[in-house]
Amino acid sequence: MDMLLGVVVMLVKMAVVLGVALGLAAYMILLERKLLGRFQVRYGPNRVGYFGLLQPLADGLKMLLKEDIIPDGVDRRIFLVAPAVVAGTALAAFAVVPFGDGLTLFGHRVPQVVVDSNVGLLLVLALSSLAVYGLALGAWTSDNKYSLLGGIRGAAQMISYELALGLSLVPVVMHARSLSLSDIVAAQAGLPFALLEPVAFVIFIIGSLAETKRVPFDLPEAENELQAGFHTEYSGMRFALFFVGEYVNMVLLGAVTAIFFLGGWHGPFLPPIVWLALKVLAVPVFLIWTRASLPRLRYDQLMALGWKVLIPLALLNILVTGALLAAGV
Amino acid sequence: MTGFGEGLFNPTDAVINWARKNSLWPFFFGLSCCFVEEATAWGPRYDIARFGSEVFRGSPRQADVLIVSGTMFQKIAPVALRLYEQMSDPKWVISMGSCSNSGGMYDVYSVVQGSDQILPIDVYIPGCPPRPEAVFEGLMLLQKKIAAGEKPTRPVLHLPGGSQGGREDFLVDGATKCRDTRGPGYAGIPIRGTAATEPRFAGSRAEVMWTPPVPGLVLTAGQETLAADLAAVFGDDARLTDTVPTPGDMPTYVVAPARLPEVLAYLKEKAPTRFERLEDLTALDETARRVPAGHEATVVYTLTSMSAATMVRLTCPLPSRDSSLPTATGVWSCANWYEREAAEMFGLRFDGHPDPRRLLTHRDWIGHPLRKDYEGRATSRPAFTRADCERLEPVDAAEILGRRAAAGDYLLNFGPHHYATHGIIRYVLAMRGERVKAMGIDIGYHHRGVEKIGERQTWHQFIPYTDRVDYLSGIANNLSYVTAVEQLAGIAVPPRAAYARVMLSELFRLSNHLMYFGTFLQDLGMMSPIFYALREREMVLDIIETITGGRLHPAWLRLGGLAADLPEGWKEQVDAFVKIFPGRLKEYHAGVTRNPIVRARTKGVGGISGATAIDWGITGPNLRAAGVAWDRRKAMPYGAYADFDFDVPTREHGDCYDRYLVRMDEMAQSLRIIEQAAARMPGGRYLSDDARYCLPQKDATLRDIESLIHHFVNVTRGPRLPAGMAYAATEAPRGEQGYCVVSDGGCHAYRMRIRTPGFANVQALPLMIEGLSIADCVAVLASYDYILPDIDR
Repeated sequence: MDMLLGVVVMLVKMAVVLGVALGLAAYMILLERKLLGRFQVRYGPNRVGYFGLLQPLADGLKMLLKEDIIPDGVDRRIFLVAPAVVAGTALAAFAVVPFGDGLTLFGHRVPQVVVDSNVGLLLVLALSSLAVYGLALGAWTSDNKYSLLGGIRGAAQMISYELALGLSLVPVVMHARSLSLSDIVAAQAGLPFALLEPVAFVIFIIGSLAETKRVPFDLPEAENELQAGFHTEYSGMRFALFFVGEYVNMVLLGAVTAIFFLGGWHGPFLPPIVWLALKVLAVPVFLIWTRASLPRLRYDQLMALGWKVLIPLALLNILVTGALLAAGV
Repeated sequence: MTGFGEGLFNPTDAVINWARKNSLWPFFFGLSCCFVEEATAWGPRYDIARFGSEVFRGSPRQADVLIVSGTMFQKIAPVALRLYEQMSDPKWVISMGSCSNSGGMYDVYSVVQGSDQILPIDVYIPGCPPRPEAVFEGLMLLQKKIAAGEKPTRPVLHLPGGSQGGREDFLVDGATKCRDTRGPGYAGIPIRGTAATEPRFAGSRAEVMWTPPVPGLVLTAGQETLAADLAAVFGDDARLTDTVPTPGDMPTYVVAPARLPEVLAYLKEKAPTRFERLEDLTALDETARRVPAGHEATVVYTLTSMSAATMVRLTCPLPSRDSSLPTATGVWSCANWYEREAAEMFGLRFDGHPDPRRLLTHRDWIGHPLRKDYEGRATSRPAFTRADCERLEPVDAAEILGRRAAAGDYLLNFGPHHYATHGIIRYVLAMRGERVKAMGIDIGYHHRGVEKIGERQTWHQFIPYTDRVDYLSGIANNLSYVTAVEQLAGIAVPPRAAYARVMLSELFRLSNHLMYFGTFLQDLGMMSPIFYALREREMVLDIIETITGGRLHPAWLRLGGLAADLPEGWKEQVDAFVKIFPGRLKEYHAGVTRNPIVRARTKGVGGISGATAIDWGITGPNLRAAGVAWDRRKAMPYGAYADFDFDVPTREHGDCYDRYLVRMDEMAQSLRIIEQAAARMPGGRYLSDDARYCLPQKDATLRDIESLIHHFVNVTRGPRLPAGMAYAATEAPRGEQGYCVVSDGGCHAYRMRIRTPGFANVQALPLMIEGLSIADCVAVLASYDYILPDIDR
């Protein structure tokens, strides 16, 4: 009986997380279009439904029903699977993201996370590394020169910035003494790590900007240079998957930033879930803001920033943190 | 019994149609002027995002609607068709503007008379160009059409029947459409004007009308010295012309073809007055002269001395139109494109030319369009069909790169249609990784045959065509043209008109540089500045609209003055703008110029030295960014510019950052000129009282019959200008734009040559781009500010 209940609870949690993530991603697109509008002294979508609220629905339905072109000369299997890898890995990472301390339902304690893995942090990093395959293979197999350039840029960029990203999280683990996301949040009950580890926080934000391929790191799909970059040959729902994957990633990034650095659901006065929602949204809004205000880096500048600045800085930061911890400060 | 989804009303249809009509994502596709107004619909005042249609897609796979905005050229038609075919179903096509609808005012050999001969058009937007509001009208019409007319359920379920994606058929001339400008059934009525003969009216008195001869030329001391020097060195092989009448704009020498390179080299390097720049090189077909010239063709070289601020013209008479003469590429490398153009347009041959391919027309072109016996009107030629489109597949990239293409190169086609090409021009990049090893350029996609059209429109009728030569600079184009014609006929311009011309030209410079500011940063990946720039640009366009009634193409200058007097309320608007704009300029600098990424992306990227820039004929802000303080408004003032107080901004390195800064500074200077012009605007006539050539002022035509008659004659038949030749160049926003007008004593030009800044500037691009990365290449293209009809004409 308990096991049955466990399965039901698990399924319900999965459905909720998936639904919330996808819904958030869809409305994140609308939010971005609205905010960009405001940043650019105009309105943004406001005709489809009240305040443009049905815009994502129209876009989604249209994409779903659009022709799915598979060009001649592509490696069919890889071409078909690649977008799913991007969207799938982003969604899968939500499995280890906790949304609260846990509830007590019918006398059972239900953790507010799909899987409370004790290596959650590694899982998040691993899944984000996997997403590179979707991009690089999709680009490679498209048999298009612009896609290929985008794919190479994407692969190089994501691999480089993953290092900085991973290294920036080491001090977090050192403080929390755990790789479980719930424990990391618990460790920030007092002070969020963003204040404790500001350097790591900045490196993490820059690294994740690059991971999500957002301005100023949107080189793989730099439209002014590569038309549509790695997804040039994708149409219909497969293109939409890349698109949705990007926005799910933004939400995911918001969630993990909230958990690693902003103290998760901890906060005064407001209920924990509201705090979490605010923190999760803060990052995407920041990303949209940067998109509205920054130009794009050049490939070599991007690489130089990653290898010559961020990685050495992250390593140094680990040493300093270690020294301070060892000294017992 | 009806199957699923076949009934009269089906809720599934309604839902699908609702989704599709509210999510029409346009393909990023622009052909010419109309695209500017299309893009303006994205701007703050209009905001197409409200309809959910702001998502420009760079890949046809992801787009829903193709807006054919602009002129459909024969050379681009196969590309347009291919892009359309690459779009995923369901897809719709909107034809925007007269050119796309029917060929519009470009009834000329290179233009397809209606893109519906190639693509299935769902909605036509009229206008030339249509305003941004008209783009919305078109979009909403398409939305209505989708909602009311389509039954997509069955196609979506892969069942037979139903309908989606608008029309699928294209039109065929003679069967489903009529290209005849006179309309169907009027074939018996003659069309006015053909390429070789002017419009002749029964009993026209234009033939017997006396016109005063063109003003002659009095040589200055420097010019006398040069003439004596040339006579001493070359004798009769380079002598001052003795044809009557002598061109009154600059000394003209007749040079023997065989000694031409020698004379050019002498003038460039040894003569007492050095002529550093090859301003223009073109040809004339002399076979249709009223008075036979004695030879069939003339090649004309125009040189500019920047040290002495003077010009000289060399003419080279050739016995036949098939003759050959030695190339000038050894003296000026930039003669390359000029000679290729003269060769393909007139059939001449240049011996020793390094790359004698066609330049503007496509590879399989037959004939030489600027020869007098070449039929210029598209409607008099066979229709361009879908079959032609399939036959004329674009040439291979390696062919454009020519000899410099090595085996194993990664050849990237950058254009003819690409975000960063700013129009339809094709670059071929030989890449090594991200680096551009070699660059080839293929132009002519935007060749509108405007020089040929100049030979059939009366002197006044041609003015609207000049607006469209540089479609972001409107009246600045008018000014170059009317200055040349006024020079030819010796027409004096009243001060009020001269000041208004200056003010409007500078307003257009501002509007152009604002667009530059936006697009340049857009290409660096900064998406917001364009919206701020468009906001300010609308203010400029509001002033222009108040004064002229038009936005992009006012066609507001007339020979000897303006089309109308400045209207009530113009000054308040100008004053308000002059107050607001400096603050906005400060905002730009704060948000952009000081941005570290902008600096990192542009400083030291794509530089060129001043000497090289002069040698390649680069003009305008691009030249001044390289440290050469040469501005025609100062160096060789025309119009009323001598009366104004302004500086010529220059920089040193000629890189992207400098090119950007020079233009930002020019905006401030333009504002100074506008302010002065508005403050000191003289009163009096707005049109010259030279009734022989000019239109009378409108109020006079309402009062006395003589003026009305003059108006009637000069509008319909057009004024008859004295025979002669005149070249006048102005400092247009993008550089020096010159018109060389040749009159045979008729009511329209015998030859209309346009020297454009873009043609010379773009030819030098590989110098700056080769060796850079692809991102830098985009930065250089964006910082360089060229515009397609200005290159291809």
